[in-house]
Amino acid sequence: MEMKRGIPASPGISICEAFVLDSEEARIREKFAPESNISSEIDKFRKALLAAQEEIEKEREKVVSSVAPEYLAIFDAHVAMLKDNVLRDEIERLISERFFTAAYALSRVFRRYRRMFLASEYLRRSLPDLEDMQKRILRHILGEKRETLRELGGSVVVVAKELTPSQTVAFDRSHVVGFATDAGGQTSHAAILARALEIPAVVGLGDITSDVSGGDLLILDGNRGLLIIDPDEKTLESYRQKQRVTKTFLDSLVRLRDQPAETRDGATATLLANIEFPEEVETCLSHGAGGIGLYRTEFLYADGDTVPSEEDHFKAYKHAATKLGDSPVVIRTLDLAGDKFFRGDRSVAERNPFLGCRSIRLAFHNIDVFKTQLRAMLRASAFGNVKILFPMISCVDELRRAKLILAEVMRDLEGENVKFNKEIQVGIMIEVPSAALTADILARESDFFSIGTNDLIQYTLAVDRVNESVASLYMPTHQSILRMIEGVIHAGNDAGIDVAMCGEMAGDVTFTLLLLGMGLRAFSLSPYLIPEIKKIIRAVSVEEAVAIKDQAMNLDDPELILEFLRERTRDILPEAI
Amino acid sequence: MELVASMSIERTLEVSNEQGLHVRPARQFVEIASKFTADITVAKDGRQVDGKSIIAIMTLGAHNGSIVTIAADGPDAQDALDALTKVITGESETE
Repeated sequence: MEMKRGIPASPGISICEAFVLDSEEARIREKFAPESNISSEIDKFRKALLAAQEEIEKEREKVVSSVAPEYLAIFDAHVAMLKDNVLRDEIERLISERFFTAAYALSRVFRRYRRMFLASEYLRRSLPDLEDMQKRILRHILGEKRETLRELGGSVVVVAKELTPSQTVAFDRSHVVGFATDAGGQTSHAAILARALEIPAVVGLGDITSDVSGGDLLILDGNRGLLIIDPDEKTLESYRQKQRVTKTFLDSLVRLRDQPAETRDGATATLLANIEFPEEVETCLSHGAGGIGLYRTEFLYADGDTVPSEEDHFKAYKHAATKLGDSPVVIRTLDLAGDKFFRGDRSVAERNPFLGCRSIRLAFHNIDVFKTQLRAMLRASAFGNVKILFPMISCVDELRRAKLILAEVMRDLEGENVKFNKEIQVGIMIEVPSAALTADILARESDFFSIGTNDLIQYTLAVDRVNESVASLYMPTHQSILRMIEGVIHAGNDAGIDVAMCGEMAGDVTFTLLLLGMGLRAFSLSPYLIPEIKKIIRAVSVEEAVAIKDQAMNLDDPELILEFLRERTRDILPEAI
Repeated sequence: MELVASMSIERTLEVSNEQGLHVRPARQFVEIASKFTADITVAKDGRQVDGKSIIAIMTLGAHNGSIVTIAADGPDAQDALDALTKVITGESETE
């Protein structure tokens, strides 16, 4: 048994075998072979070596006339690895002495080499060669029956160096029950996605890919950020127990689904869901969301090089609009960093992308792309209660400009006799300090606000929270943030427009009392957090929330405010934190 | 009784090959070593590995400038050492 500590990225516990993505690509189903099969496992392994060798030689043949000799030497080196007696003996010994299957023995032996290679700066650059070998041999061992991540026959915990959005989306979700990655933090894309899909995940585990072999039994504890490799019976039993308790707790929360988010003194809050993919619409409904408060549309651009078509957009939006019926579906227009968009076309690297041409600004620089998305949103508005949300608005002029473009698109659609909701509501994200401080002005021309706390905090405090050396300065309870949020809520309420919050603060139970006390009545959050937030709203009165808010705002240290809020939250809902 | 022409000899050398005993030079070393009947080992920092195994040699992490000891044991030990010395010292760069 071996225990590794990482960063908890998505809660929950999974007990399952490992699938090591980078070096294996396919699932290793059986770890042990019956004694009578040993010779056939060895035979399978030897044939795989030969087949891999032939394959490389064929590939070499194809390029022999067109590439430089030193490139060909790589092929020769790979063949030499396949012929290596030391490697072969090690693997065969595991098969014959420990009754491992050929696939598992391969995985175990290569794991040992991966570790050695990783330990040295000099050897690390040969890691791709090693991984390539391992994948090749494994492919031949498993043959046609191999199960790739797209089509799994059983459940796995995926272990990878890091996961790209497009990889994560491609998973066969009925069988991927957990992620564990070497790299990443709580806000990396894979972490956000894991939370959205309610798959337990631990990230930032260091060299976990070299500590785990495909087929190893793992316990992934997404609550505490632990990964346990080959657990002993006692640990396994205690985790199975935890799994049962967690399930009971979650079931009890889901029972709250049909009850309103109403305070003890009768004020109602609206709990909306943040979603990333069309597939999450069902989760929203099953967790009692009153609508979709933030539909991120970046997944449509996840491929990187191709721009999504109007139909791509339309299909994704119509699905949500139809499923939600009369409940709102707030769709945000593209909110990407410049460098993640149209990589091919952009030659100028920005010195400071976070302050650069991103989000709505990028839309203004790519009007056609922007219009395509707006057309699809408008078309979808004929099928449900769609609202449009513009991100990163920093001044009235930007808002007017975005609305002008929208008006043009509406005129086009009218000219084509395409149906859409002419009264569609148009709102803005409040995530730039300049917008927060002039919310009263922006409120005159917006139908609603959605406060994006993640960026608001980063821009206000001048902190990139992914940068480890300054991340500790990222403080949601900094008074500047609290004052701004309260100001935005008041400005919206005074103007009679809806104010929602869609940043992470909205889904963190620590801040619910404070935000209620400030007058916030709409929270948009990851669907699985809805029951918990609902529970605390139902346990408090507005009067109490206001008193807690006043006390918190009178403290002079952000850390103290946080601690105070935690305590009060615990008083009201002991099981929450 | 006739004396068998078997001998065990070793030589300590500095790797002078820009890439060190990396994938390709390691493969070249193994290819040459495998032509001899003598048992061949390579040692670095007190760790000794089979000189006919590419993967084992790679794990030594013998970069340019490291000191390695090659040893050969067998009837053609002398020839083996001479040939392998050229790989280590970079005199045999051609593939």
